[in-house]
Amino acid sequence: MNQDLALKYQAFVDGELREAEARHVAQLLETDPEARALVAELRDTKTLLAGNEPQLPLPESRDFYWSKIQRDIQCLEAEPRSAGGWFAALAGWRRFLAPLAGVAVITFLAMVAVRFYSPAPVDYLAEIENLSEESTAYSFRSGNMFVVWTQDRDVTSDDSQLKFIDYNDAVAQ
Amino acid sequence: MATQHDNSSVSDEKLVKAAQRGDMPAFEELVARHRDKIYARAFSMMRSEEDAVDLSQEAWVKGWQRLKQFQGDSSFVTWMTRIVINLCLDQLRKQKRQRAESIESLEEDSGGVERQMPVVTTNPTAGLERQELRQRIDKALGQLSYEHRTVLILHEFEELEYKEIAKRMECSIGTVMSRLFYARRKMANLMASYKREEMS
Repeated sequence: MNQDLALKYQAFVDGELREAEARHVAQLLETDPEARALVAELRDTKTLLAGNEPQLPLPESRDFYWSKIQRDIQCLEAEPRSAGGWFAALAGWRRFLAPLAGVAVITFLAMVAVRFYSPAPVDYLAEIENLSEESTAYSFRSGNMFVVWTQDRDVTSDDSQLKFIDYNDAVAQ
Repeated sequence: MATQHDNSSVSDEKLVKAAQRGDMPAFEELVARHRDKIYARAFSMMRSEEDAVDLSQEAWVKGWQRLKQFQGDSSFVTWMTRIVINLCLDQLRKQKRQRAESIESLEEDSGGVERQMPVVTTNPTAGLERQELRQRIDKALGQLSYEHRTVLILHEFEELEYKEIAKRMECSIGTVMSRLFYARRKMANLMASYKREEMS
């Protein structure tokens, strides 16, 4: 008898075969006395063990046995309170980590978007009223910087002057 | 202890509900009622009194911690038995990693040993008192390797199916089947040998 067939007989004893397989095994058993003997032994051993689990009394008194269990339970229950300190505080804050991380990511993305995708600041010629007929003035503002370019109308460009004026001062003037 | 006497006539179900509310004396009564069974199961698997006491106590502590998860789908003692079995399996795995393979394991690996054992045709336990029968079963269990003993305990005492045993023992169903087959055949032959010893 090969091992696979022997295991199939055992599965038959344990009710682990599907109906069709069980019927097939039952037919095999009718014609094989050796298999029948094996199945009988397996069945007897199963019956022998069922309901006859060894009963062993605990070799310790009720109070002594319980005292260790109680001590361990009390230690475990005391742990979360006594552990306190940093770990407990961190554990308490842990539930806020996910929403905070989300807010941080959104803020970062918003900053990146503003930085890279917003229209370039408008550098424009500021309206400087030039009452002089002898000079020309151009000005523009970039951020807080106010640039004024003045040039004498009658001289060459070498005489031109570049002045940096604080925007607030220029407005005040 | 007055509380122990107060709880002695209370049903398991009521004690469990009280313990789930944090009633420690109720839990202590449950421990007192079922400690022998939980210890016996641990001993059957571990074959060491010291390990069995330690693991059964650890199981009770775990039981207290997980008590709120107990829904009453099975009896309380069945639930506790599963906890102690899992602890024993973990411990046995640790021990196995630390020691060399047993002779039984080598026999299993070589294959076919169980097929060489003679089929036991007479009842080797006829006429035995139940207590004596249990002692012989215990003795025979002690002569099996932990893999064979465990599979036998899970199948015959816990009444678990092959698939469930495979999951708990972290092995294939085929391995469960071959271990169970070997364990049963060895068991039958050991019982027959005890009978022969008695007769001689």
